[in-house]
Amino acid sequence: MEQERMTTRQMAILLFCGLLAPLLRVIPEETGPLAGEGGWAAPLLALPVFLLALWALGRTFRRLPRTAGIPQMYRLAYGAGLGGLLTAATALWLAVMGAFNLRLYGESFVSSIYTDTNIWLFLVVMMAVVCLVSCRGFATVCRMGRLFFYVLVITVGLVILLGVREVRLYHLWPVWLQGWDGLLLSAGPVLSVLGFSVPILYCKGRTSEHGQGEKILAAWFSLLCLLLSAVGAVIIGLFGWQTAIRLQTPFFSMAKEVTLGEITERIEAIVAAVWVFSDLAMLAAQVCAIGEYGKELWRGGSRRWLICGAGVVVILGAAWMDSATFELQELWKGLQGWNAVICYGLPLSACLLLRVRRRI
Amino acid sequence: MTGRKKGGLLLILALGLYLLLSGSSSDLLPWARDITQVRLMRTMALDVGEEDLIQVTLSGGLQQQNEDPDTIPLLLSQQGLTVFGSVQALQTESDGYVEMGHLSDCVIGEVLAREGIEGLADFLERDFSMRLGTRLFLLAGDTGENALRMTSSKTTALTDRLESISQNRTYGGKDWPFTVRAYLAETEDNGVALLPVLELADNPDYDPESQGEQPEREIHLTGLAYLTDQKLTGTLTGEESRGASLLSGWDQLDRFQVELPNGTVAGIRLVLSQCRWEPEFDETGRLTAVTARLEVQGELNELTGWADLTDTTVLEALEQGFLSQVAGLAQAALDRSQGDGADFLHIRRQLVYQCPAHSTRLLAHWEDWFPTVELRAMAEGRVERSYDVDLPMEEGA
Repeated sequence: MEQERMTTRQMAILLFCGLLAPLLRVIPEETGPLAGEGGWAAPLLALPVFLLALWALGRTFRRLPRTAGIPQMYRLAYGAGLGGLLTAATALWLAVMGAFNLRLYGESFVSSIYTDTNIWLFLVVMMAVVCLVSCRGFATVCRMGRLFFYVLVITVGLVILLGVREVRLYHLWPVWLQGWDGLLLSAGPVLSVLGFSVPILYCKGRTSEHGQGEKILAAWFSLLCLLLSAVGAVIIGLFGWQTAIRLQTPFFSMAKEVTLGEITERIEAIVAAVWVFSDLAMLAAQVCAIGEYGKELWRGGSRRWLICGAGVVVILGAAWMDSATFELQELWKGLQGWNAVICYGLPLSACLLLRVRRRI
Repeated sequence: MTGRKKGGLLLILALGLYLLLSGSSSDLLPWARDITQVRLMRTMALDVGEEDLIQVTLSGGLQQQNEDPDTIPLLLSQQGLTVFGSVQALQTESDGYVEMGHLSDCVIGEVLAREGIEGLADFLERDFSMRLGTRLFLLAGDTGENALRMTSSKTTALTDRLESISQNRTYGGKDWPFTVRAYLAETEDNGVALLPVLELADNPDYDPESQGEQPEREIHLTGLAYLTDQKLTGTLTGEESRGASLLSGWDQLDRFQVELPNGTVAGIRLVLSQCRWEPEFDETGRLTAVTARLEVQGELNELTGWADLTDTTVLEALEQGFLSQVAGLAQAALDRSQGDGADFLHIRRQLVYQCPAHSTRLLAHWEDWFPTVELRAMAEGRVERSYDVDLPMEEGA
């Protein structure tokens, strides 16, 4: 019942909201050292590769039953045993990434606004809200994403609009100044974060029955990448890439700097408050997806209990990552390869295997 | 809602209320500061203290006087190994919490500027409460602490004077270009950054008996200086500073006096200045010359004497005089930059941006090419009338 009330557009909007925060953690922090002045163009370079991966997955899922998601595809491609193991690995990875995102969200508050406050408060409150919403079902989370979308886009749009007059074009051009190889490699970190969306998008099969799924996803992810490039361009254009990569949170630093005379000074507090919506959207999507994978692994299990259980695991994981933001950033760099394997490698290899064995 | 759910919800609510109201969990919940105990700081001065420590002096500006308008702005001073250490030490000196989030200006004493300001730049960049839009100034021949103490009175604070300087000296709508953000970006580009220079002067209205009614000294913007690798290495003359400002396109209050052939002197105000850099390369791809082409616009504000400005030859003479002065100032700045081997105008960055096809060679050979490349300044533009000075006041105004 619930699946019929979810559309590809709703799912794309939810992921649009959820990906904003983690993507702006890598732009320009990770794209800058690779591409220098061209760090802002990384989302545009990553987009074609990502859309190609989505197209390949979409083609495969179109040949599978409409309700078949990644767990069913793994079972079909690798058999029940290995397929179940890979499904469990994907669910576990979503929990690890959820814990990572939750920790970074908590750290952003503790290190900037509420210094000397225990991080547990932010972890518990956020996860309580996530579980409360997620227990109502994936469709409810998607509807929540639609509300967040307007708030987030207006906020980001305002920051871009106010910041663009301060941009110095010589900080942005030529994009190949640090070398073409660096420019192309800068798409990697963006692709890795965009990969978060793959196990979520296909956790429970196709969401649209009109055969327009890939086009809708392509449109929304293109919009996301365009917006991120614009934000990246304003950040780098404002600070220069060398300064921007040293800032702890370049996007919030940019929000601190943008003003319109005396009218809109100090808007960073509003931006930081609104940014919670992005973290909430991603965590809710990840927890819901864990619930779906869990249901496939444990057929008799209640989805609500699975979601609450996933919430507890994510909180404990976030608390266990007891480290400063610097170390978390290093940890993420180490995890990027694994993220690519689980989010792109496993589903795409399953697609390939199914095609080679002519099972679809 | 079932009974079990209701029970669970009530338990959560009770726990939440306990945490919020009991006051026994201060380590878990964020704690708020009493706003009446917060001291908002507006201006920071940095100097070399005793035994090479860094001395930080903070001023609260006039809004701190709300409780007692008959006092001069709050001043706090401390020394430490680092800027952050000094600021933390100030917390113990103040009767409230010293809040730096509203700091808008930073004045650096000359001695410290010569020793280097890496620590300041790093502190302003890392500390989340600080703003990268904070304006930076150098104080020539004195300490920043003296600037804060001697320019404060019951009715004025250094912050207000610096704000006035920054607002009046830039083109309409443009922001003050010498901020921490710009400083960091310029230093990252080639290690050289320009900063404005202030000087203290005696206040003719000062009366020692007035008990703080008037400040002891006044402060003025005198020109620009450049820092290489975060150390003050050169101060530009008045002409060079004006030339650098023209090439950067920021100083609105520059004015020119042009003498016409009949002895009449025209007062012209600069209202617009835009610079375009034009490189010339030889057949081997080596940079041989760079022309700074200035597009300027002046407004005639005064004529001491008489001139028929409807006469094309007179107007041309006026414009030529104006443009040659503009080009002369710009040339002085270019010559100083080349002579000192300090690209404080960031010509390389401009050329890389404008000629991306040559960017790799420019970056690779700039250090070799810069000392020998021919730098030229050219000015184009015209003089407009602000109002017709020949007409009687009631018609021309």
